[in-house]
Amino acid sequence: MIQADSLSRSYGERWAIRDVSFQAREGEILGFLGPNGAGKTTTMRILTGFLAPTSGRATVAGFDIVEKPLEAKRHFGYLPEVVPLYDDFTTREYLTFVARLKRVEGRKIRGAVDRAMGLCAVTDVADRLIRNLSRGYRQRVGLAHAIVHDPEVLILDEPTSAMDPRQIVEIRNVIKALRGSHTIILSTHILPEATAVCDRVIVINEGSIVAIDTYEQLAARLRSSEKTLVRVARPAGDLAQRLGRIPGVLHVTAGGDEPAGGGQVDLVIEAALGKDVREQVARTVVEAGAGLLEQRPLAMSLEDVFLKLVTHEDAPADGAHGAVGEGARA
Amino acid sequence: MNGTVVIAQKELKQLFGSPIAYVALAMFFVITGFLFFSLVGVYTAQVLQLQGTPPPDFNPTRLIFTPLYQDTSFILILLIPVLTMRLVSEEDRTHTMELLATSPVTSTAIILGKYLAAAVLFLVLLALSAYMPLSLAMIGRLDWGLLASSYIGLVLLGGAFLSIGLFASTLNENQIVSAAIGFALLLLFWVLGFAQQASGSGVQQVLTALSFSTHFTNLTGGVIDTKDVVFFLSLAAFFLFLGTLALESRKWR
Repeated sequence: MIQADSLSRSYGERWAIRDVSFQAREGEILGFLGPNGAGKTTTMRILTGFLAPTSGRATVAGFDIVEKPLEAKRHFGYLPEVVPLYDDFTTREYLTFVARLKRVEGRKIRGAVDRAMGLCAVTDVADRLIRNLSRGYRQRVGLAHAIVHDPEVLILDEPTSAMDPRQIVEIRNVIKALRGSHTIILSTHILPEATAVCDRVIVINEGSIVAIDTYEQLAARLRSSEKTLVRVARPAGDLAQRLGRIPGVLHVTAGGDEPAGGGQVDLVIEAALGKDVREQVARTVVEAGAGLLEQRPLAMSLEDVFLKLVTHEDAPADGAHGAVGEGARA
Repeated sequence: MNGTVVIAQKELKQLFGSPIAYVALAMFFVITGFLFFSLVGVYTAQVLQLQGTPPPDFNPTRLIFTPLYQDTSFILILLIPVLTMRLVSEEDRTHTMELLATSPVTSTAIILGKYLAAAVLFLVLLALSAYMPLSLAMIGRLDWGLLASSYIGLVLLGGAFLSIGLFASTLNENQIVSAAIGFALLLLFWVLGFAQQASGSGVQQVLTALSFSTHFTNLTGGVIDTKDVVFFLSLAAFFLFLGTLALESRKWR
């Protein structure tokens, strides 16, 4: 549904994005993840025809955005980073204008506007001036404007910015509800969002794609060891050493992410990849009489994955290259 | 075409929903009203002096309305940039241009829609200003041909002014700067006529041909020359084209 072929865009000497290639399959939610200034917005602006690419091609819903802009533009909805609202219109007036602009048939406009308002939960402010709406409402009116003509493709630039946690959950539910019937590409710098709603994640940094994959695959590829956290009530003096002697365990370090209180101690046990040492760890702790309170695997958080990808630190070089290669083929 | 109409309707709604249209109308009517009042006063004094034996070329239309519309053209130089300054600048400032530019409408439709809306407001203004000749027509005979020619001149002049103002608005996201650019461009085209004595004969012809005042004076004088009509129409078309170009070029910057 969306296809980008080695898109590049320069502003004078500086390259905003370079050789960006990817595709979004029908019905998929694709997350665009990257630090600020990585080129997320530039890529989206090129996909929507707001900017022309310096080189490369992009097709949306089967239409080349440079050669057939009008056809392509009928098939996507776009929520820019700054929500384009007219302050002197009411929500209903604004959405009606957008529906007409997007060429919704005259007699279907009312229904389309009501549907979009319902989906984004802005029906209760239908007759209020947009000027007087709170930021959360403004953002949701923005989302409503992107879906008012029921496009096949949705391009959302940071759809959940400026919202409180409850609203973020609501918006994610709206986006999830559109999964399957719509192809969605959304950018975000809020990492959990990518795991919460996206089928696949594109990690972009300094204008180039670093990786394209599902979050689980990315995490699995970047993981170099299995980590287990153990919380004990009474740390015996040689507990760490005894744990270290378990076959497969690489090393044991004290302290987890959060400090444990009341004399409790956290130990992180790192084992070689593919080695399951959980059973021996539990037995060792119990035999030592340390008082096992908690034992859980430490998954690599998306933050870790992301930081590994964008900082190039001890990221497996062949893995990252493989991802770029895959992107180029796509 | 559809896109043009949708955008024109939106613009009209915004123009009449904001104070700008009413401030512009009020400013226009206060100044033209005062000019009209003083010109009628001067005319009355002349009639009294002549003691009922006016010379054959003593024409109230020519004495009152020709100078009135000449002065109106000058008011329009100040007024039109105020009407057009927000057309594109405001969309840039509020980032709503991103909505228009990613919708299935061409840059031409965006520019034409905005132009159309400003033109409607301008025509309303001209239509309302007809109270001046109509009020005199109730108590005397007017030269309708001359008036019609003047109004055609005002419509053509306004059409060209609006397209220049609209073009100025595409250049900057600050409304005040857009108004200043529009004002400067209009004034430049006006003073080209003044410079004609100062230059050589070849340049002089070019400057005269490019000046608003030369062409507009013919029309308020009652002469509808194709040359003048074509001048204003092509000027309007040229700046609409430049405006479209300015929008289109943003993709590449």
